[in-house]
Amino acid sequence: MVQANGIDLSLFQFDYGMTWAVVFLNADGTIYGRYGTRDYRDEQSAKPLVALSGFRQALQAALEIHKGYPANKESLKAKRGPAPRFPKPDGYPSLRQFAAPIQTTSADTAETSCLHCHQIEQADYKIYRLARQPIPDDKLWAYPLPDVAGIVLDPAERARVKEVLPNTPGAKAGFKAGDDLVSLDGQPLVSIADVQWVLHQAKDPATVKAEVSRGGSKQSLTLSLPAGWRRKGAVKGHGSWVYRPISDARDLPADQRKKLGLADSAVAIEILWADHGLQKGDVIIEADGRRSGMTLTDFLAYTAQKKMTGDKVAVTVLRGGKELKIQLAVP
Amino acid sequence: MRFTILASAAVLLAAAQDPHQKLKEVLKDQNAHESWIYNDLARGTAEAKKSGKPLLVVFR
Repeated sequence: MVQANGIDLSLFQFDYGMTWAVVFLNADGTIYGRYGTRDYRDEQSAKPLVALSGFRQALQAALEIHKGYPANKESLKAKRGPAPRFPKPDGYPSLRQFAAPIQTTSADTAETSCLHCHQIEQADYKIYRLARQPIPDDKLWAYPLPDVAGIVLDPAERARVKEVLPNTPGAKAGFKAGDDLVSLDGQPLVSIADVQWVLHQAKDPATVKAEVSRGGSKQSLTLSLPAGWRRKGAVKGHGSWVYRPISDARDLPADQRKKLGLADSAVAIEILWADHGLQKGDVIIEADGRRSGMTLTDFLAYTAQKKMTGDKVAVTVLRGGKELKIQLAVP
Repeated sequence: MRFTILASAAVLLAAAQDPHQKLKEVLKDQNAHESWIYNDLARGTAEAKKSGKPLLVVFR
């Protein structure tokens, strides 16, 4: 599928920011699994976490599920998401022009009539902005990586734990490097994307049952996600263009903070693309009176949830060694 | 002349066999392998029902 015009949003729910995403399903619409993951922590690269070997294993896993169908149908129910806001993308006011199929009279008409998946996410955010409502956490931090629970999975495998970070929900639950996640919340897993799907639907706080294969035997673990667990991740990239008052940016690396005399906890957001009155290389060191404890994700979430269209954010930037005060307009 | 007619007929036949050829051309889509059902979910679903195989849908 090279365009999202007219797709069934009750069936095809996945990270719409992906430039390549797979859904495995039965012809009757039962979803077997998903494949395709990006890491939005580096928003410039939005690093794809995919590998041919991992994809091959996802294919094999989907075939295993198909072999066991329909006896395993109950375990697959939750792989279909809740009823969407609109059944098709053109239900969104900002996407009405995509009700028609893609036009093929020329490359230009094809380009302008083609609905990109990420536009669905943006259209959803626009609903909140027009209603002057904060964009909720489960939309901003959609499809969380299991890293937010301290469980780092290997993209070269189906759903194998590569590393468990200390003092995290994953460590407390007893996950270990080398564990193969078999199921999460009772759902069989074909990939990291399937783990993200379960986390995407999880509440805040939440308790999620996991089954892992370890040393040839199955173990049951309970993952307790504390209040605010979702905010450990990065906000979604494409959707942020609806509300962010800055262009491409990144958290200034530690060595460069040191050079500028900025503490580890200081606000230090480096601008990577000139726009909105900011220049490439500017470093935001204060936002609305706050000089510490605000990463790029925190700043974006702040504009998405505490600021509305037309509001201003007062920032102080370091430019050429001097501090400059700028009022940023929130779109 | 016979060659031209045959060539034209062949082009028309190809287009009839692949209704999405025009779409591939305007998108300059060089990644569409002939073994894939191209941008046609209805046809893919029908094929999956007929063959009893699962469906793999790629959004790109």
